[in-house]
Amino acid sequence: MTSAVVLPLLGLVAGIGLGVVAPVSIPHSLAKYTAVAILAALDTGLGGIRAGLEDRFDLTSFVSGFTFNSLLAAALTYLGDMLGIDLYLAAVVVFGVRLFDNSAVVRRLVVNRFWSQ
Amino acid sequence: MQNWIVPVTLIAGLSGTLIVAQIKTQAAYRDDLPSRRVEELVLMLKDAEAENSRLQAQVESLREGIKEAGKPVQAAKLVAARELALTGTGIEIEISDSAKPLGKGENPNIAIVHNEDLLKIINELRASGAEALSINDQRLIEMSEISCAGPTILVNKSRLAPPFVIRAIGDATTMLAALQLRGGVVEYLQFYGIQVTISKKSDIQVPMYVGGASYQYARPLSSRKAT
Repeated sequence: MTSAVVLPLLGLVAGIGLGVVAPVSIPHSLAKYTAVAILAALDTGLGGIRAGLEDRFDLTSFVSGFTFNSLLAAALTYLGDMLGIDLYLAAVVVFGVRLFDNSAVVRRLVVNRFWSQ
Repeated sequence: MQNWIVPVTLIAGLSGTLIVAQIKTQAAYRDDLPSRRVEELVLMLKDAEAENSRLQAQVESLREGIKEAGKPVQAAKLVAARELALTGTGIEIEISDSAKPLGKGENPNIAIVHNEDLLKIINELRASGAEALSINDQRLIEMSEISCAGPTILVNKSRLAPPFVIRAIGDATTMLAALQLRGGVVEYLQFYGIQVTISKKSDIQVPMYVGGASYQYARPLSSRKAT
């Protein structure tokens, strides 16, 4: 149970360290895409935790979900750029809602688990 | 170990990297000029201008030093040198914005002196043989601009405000006649209420050039053939 919490957290810290150390810089025109990609990654991560806690984690749907959602969000953003409307906000809203949904479920599961102990 | 932990860890790492990269980029963008506040820019401009005038004073004093230290220069070169204040006969023209109250619906643009007006006068003076020119104590050299900068006019990169005083050394009678030509530039300006006063003087003084313009690209074709 402890490793379930520690390892993803370690991954997050390692990623932040990598971002600080590596000389990555995103062109400003691509900032929207990165924002959507961040949300997709957060959503996938949280969704994975939820599925894992509910004992119905499936690697195939995890990977395909992340890939497909990211691509769709990027495509929406691109289309929005072409049309001159902020279509990427749709992806932001959906990912945001799902983030809250998933985090609520994860919170309930974790709290229940610790409560019942 | 559950099968979901490693993929989730990888995704968490990716999120962290992306978030930090994005934050770094956004922070760099916020420091860019276009997104700075106007007040901040005004302060920067003021600082730069203070620094500019300090450096110009320095240039002036250094050039004085050069003049004293240098060998006597030939008379022909003296007149051409922009580093020298000149004096001679000529005319002084004072130009200020219209004092007439604007009528209803009249464009306020017609009542103020524009850089094109000054350009026309300067051109007329040059055409009638002016040898040295200055606007508000800015010596006009071959690299001097007379451009519009909002409510002010930019000459030698310094901002001038009305009233504008143009001093021209040359044949006073010719220059006066050229300016006051019927249908000429002065009549045109006065039609719009711009106040132009011209006076002939025997001791016009044109200051030396104190800006930083220098030849970076142009060089003599041949030092011997150069006149």
